Amino acid sequence: MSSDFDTSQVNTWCPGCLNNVVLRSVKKTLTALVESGVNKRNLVVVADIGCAGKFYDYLNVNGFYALHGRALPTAFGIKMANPELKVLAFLGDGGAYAEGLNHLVHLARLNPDLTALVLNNRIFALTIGQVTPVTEKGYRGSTTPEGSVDSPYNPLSVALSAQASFIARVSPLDPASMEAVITKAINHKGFSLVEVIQPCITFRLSDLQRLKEKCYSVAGHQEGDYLKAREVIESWNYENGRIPLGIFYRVNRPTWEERHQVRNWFRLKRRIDKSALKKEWR
Amino acid sequence: MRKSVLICGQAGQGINFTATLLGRVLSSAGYYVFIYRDYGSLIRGGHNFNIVTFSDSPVHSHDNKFEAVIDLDQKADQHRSNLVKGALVLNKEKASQENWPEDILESKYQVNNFLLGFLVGGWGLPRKLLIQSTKRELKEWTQAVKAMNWGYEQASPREELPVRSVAGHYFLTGTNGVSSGAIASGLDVYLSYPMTPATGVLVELARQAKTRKILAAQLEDEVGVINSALGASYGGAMTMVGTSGGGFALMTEAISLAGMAEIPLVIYLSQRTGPSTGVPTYTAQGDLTFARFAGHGEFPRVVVAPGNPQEAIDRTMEAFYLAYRYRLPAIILSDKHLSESYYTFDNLSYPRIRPDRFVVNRPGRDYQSYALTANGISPRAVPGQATWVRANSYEHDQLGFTTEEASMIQKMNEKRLRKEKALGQMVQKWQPVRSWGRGRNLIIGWGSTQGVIRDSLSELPGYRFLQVSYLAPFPRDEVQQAIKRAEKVILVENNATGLLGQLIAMETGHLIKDKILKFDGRPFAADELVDRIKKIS
Repeated sequence: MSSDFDTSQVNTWCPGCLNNVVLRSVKKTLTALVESGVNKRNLVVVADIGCAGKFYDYLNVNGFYALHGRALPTAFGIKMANPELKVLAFLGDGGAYAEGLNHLVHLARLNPDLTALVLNNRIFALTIGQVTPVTEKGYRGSTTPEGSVDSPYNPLSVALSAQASFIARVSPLDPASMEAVITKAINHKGFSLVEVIQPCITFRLSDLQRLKEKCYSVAGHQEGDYLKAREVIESWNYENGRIPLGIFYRVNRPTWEERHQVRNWFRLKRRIDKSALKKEWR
Repeated sequence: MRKSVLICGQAGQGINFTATLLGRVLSSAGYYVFIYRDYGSLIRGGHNFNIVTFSDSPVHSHDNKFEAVIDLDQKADQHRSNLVKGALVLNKEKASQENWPEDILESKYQVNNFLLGFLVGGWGLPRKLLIQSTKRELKEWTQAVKAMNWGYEQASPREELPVRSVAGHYFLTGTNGVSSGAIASGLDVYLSYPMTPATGVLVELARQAKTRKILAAQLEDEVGVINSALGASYGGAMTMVGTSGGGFALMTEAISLAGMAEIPLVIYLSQRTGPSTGVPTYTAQGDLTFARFAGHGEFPRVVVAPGNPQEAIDRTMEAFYLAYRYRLPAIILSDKHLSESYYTFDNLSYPRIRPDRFVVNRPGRDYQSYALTANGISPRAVPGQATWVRANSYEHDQLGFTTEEASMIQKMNEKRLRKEKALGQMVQKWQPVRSWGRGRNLIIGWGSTQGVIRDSLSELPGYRFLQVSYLAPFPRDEVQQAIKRAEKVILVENNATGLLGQLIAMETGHLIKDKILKFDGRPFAADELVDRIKKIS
């Protein structure tokens, strides 16, 4: 199925990579968004580094391929320049939960109106198989030959503590639900964090079966209830047990841009009165 | 006539306020003023001081000989060797002997105002200058004015200081100059994380944010600051960040990103004494090499080094122009001494540089974010104008898509580096070096040592001073010629190894053997510098 968002860049994800499913869903979501009246010129994709970063090359739209761990501050900056832009950031679990965790916390707190998709396969894949902060204890990666001795932390719980106004988890194994949630995330006014939990078919193929068995939808969950959100988010510790999918938390808070009265500076016609500037120092 | 007043006391006693107020009074009376601030990294206690040096002819530096002292913590003894004979020492102890009003002497700040009134009264300067300046500095000025009046009336006439024709002395710091230059450049967004001595610009721009319609925001850390700034600049905003050495170190990965993705950005770097945390509230010129070369990989940049607040305005406006026109990072290299010292000017000027985002009007279907052009500058567009505006930290093709293809890697490197040539020609018209005085012997320096070197020249017949204001692109020919023509060449720097000397050696092949270096966190004073230069001669 061809899309307005296709590029001619060669796809270098591993054959069968589930990122392709996510890419298709994102293209469908963006197409629907444009059809619903969003100006395509106002769409901007920001990418981190790693397999998740490659979305930049595969989406034919304004884009910023940022530094590792820095997709979120970059996306935030774009909103500071022009709040009319719709910004969608793609990160992996390395960029979002390791290198750039502090930014995730602060964006959750500050609530700029943008969406972060964290493609979490619980592995550094592009550097050929090392543990991330959300890899389970015991995993044998290239830098943990005896098996990792460290336990993962729960980044969604951290995001909730930091007051993220939209927290969700989806799986490319259920593309329809994934599209629905991503659409809601993009339309959410404020910082929306969507974790895409997925297997890395090269380094963690067994996850494919595991995710099929363990994932379940939290249909009927009350999205505005902080304590319920905490309960469902902490019901999976990134190691054992069932993995909830869906929107865990959604509340409305004023965005950073609103609170700071950000304008589209580019369209602002400035008249700079140098004599007034000078007068400050008399 | 050239005099200095020392105002000293504990942090939190209002030394800085009192010194600034005195500076303002003298400046409005038509005197040239320079204020040096010396303070520790603490909020209360310690022993801080300001030196207010003033004259009826231009002053660009402070002296270490004091005619008068306002001593707020009775610790001025340590400055005794720096007092001129018969210096006036004003403090509480003296105050109680003079039977001055108890209630004022007991009040935390009113003693400052009282003593200031006394000092100014003794010079016979009009009381209204004092009152006007106070009202300007304070919202709640009733008590202060009362205390000043008291002091003013108690003062017995000492030396009459006439009011000089007040053509309009401008009184400002390097921080003020950078802030003002940024606003004059059309600044939209300033991002920073507090770090002495760069914090002042964030404070100043936050103060002016509402009236000037700008966004001045403090973010989580310097890494967040610069990456957000690059996002904002890509998004269409005129953007600047500010920090000191440690924060700049954190920013270096993104400076390289600005070079690669060709995103305009102005970076204000105010140096403190390093290395590492160093001495946060003291000055140095130790980051020249770091600023000049920061960031992995090879890419063009601009590094300007203003020497006073007027130049801070000029160079900041040039930095914006160059960053946006050439799509690259431009660094304004200041230091604690320039950032926080007050200077006086008869007039201030803002260069005739029209603020420009350098964005194409309508990027057509054929628009390429990284078009390969003859001068290396690819026309700029911003998202919202089109759907194909890209910025890429990876090597990329003209459209901005990632590439690993050999010939494209080479072409893009060449394209970026090509900008250096046009850039070098462009800055020719902006005095990349400035020359002061006349003589066969040459003093070379840069940045905040400008003032003290200029003030020393009157004692150094036969010397001229070459101030290097552009560290990148480097004014190779100008520096080379000046060195060749000179009989004796002396390098003056506020660092331990002569970093400008190293850059000159690299750029011109000239090794400057005679170096006068100071790296104790303190700026040079003129008498000290003259002595050291005479020793070499």
